[in-house]
Amino acid sequence: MIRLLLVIALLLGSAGRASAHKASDSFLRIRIDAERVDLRWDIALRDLDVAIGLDGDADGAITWGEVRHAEAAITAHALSRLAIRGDAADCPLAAASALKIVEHSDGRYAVLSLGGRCRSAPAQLEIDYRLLFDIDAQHRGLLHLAYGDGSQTAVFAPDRRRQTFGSGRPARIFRTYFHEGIWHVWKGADHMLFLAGLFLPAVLRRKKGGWVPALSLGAALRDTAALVTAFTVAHALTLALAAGGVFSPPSRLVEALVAASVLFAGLNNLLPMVQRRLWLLAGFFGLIHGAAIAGALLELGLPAQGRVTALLAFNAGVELAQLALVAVVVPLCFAGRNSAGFRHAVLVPGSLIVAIAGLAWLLQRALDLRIPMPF
Amino acid sequence: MTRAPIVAAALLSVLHLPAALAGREPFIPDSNDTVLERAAPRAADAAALRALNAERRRLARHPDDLPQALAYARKAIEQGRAEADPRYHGRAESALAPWLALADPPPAVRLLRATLRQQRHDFTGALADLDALIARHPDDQQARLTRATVLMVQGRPDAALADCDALLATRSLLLAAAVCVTSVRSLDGHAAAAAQALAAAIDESAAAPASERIWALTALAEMQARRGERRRAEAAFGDALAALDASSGHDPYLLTAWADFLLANGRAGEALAITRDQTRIDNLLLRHALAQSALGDPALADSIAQLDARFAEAGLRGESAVHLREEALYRLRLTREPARALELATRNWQSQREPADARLLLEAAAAARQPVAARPALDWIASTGIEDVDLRALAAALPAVAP
Repeated sequence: MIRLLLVIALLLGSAGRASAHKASDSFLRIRIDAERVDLRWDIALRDLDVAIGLDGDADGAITWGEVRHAEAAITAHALSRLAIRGDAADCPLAAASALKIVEHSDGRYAVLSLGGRCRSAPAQLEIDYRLLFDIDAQHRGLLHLAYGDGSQTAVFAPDRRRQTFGSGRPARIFRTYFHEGIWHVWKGADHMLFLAGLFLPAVLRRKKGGWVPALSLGAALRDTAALVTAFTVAHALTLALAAGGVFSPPSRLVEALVAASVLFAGLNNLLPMVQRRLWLLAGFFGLIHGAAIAGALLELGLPAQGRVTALLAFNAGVELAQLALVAVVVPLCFAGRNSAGFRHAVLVPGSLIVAIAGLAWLLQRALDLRIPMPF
Repeated sequence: MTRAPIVAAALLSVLHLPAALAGREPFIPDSNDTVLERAAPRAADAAALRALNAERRRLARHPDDLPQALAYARKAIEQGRAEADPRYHGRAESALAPWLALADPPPAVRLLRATLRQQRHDFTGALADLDALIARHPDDQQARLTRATVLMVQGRPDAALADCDALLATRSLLLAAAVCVTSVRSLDGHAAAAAQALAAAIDESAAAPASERIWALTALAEMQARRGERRRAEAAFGDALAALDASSGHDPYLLTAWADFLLANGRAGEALAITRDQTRIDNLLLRHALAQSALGDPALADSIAQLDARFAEAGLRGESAVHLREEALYRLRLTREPARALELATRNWQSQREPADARLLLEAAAAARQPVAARPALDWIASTGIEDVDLRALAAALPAVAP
């Protein structure tokens, strides 16, 4: 045995000097045109033979008949080793036309034509490439990507399987992240409830056992503006810092604090605890909500090019959605501030619901309890 | 003004890359019987390949079975050597992946990791592994031999000698130890005695495995060629080729050395013939093209286009370092771009310092009319005392080309 090993070692010595043969590569050309994905993938027949077995009669020669016979298997194998995501949403791929053959410098390759669609024209593309890495660690996927304003190249390797690409078009990045920012606020029930709870006192305050309505819409809006500004500035600050990677708050703690803020906002309307300098409180909660939203933005991912644009756009979207909510809640509450029915049918039960939801979230997130929630 | 080169580089990459990536036009073959590719160069290798594939599938079910992974990796590396094909080294690497990532892998894995690193021209990484192995087990013969080989590739025969001596002291592998010691001695001013000793060792080792004898005979042939002993070199090559035929094995290294010998001695016709069916291997395609160039063969354009595509595709991987020696030779002799050849030969000299690398640097420096660039090779020749008639002639001619 030792002799055999040694002989191998001897031979390896010369192999090191004579290693002159191209290693395994595949050539991946992707074109992104709005939401359309067109893809040509050249994979060496030798590699496909090892991965799925092409040489049906095992004579060492791979014929066109054998390749055609294996076409479905080749396509299925390739599709299982490649994923494209546009702005974190899958862009499903399928065979677009029949398999062809092409000559490369080290032999014949199968040419796969694939196509697919992303949910919308992506501002950021994530490509997850896993072909052959389990068989040949020296395999590389060589990418040529036509996307946005130019073409990019990249190499996929076992330690670089997943890579992201930006279109490099600021307008598209802005539109996508702005949209995501708005969408995130509208989807986030905790965020909405907190804001609704927070802005109620601007029009109507519980004071010494009775409700005191705001004197004018102008005064109500001024109070509201101070709250919104404090909340927004603080919120933008932590969002930018966390999304920029300056700090990464533990997500469970942040989520629990968000829930606590909802509980507090609801309770504070029923049993006033903080009445003066409410803007300071708004600012403090703004810091927490900003950190929570940054988590969502990080999940979405920032594009390699245009990080600042994406961050600003996402923030702008979040703020616009918040302001829209305030613009609806505050005048409605102002209009109903003198009606007892509104108070007893809307404000008190509404604040109670806010408080109960906040408590439930807090228990769920802090203690990891499973509480069935309607939202 | 600084933008101009950036724009030019960007333009160049846009224009260059798609062509290299696209290859030629896709087509649909005429008939189901059209043979598109060979899984292996010969039918006998196809059987070995199938056996290896079967072993891989078994291993895939138990990826943490170290003995099985080691057995598979050794077979893959052996096949990679026989076909000069790094795909097999990649397969060994995949099988060993769970252990390769460890800071201190099991010794058997570490030895193969050194081998794989050497194959990727990561000589520093290979030496780190081998040093660690030998520090723990000074009598590890395999590690000693591999380290001696790496040190010689790095042009450090004096450092390699200690490992060869340790190998010789075990007295169990006389032919291997003899090749090791005489290869070192042939580079440090004792070429005649080294060749004589190796020839004697080969004569006494008739029972050694064919692959080992072929390796020793090739080393002997190269020693004799360096000494200018053409007749003896040819005899050793002849013995090596006969042993190869008898064993029906592959040895791309032997074929490359033999082709180089033929080309250096004005026998391009024979070089063309022996490389004709071997152009799948880059090194032999390069020798084939050199023979075509010497003979004025019109098929040279085809070979050059193929070589160009291979270097371009290797460049796309970002691993041009593995092909520096070959590409320098290609630019020097075939596309006749001396400045580019000198740049490549200089970079190659940073990692590989064998006689062939020194010759390349001297020739490129002469062709580019930059004799100063040959200084590192000249220093190496002086410090080792190597006896190589071609190198000495090149070195002697060098100052004459100074402008």
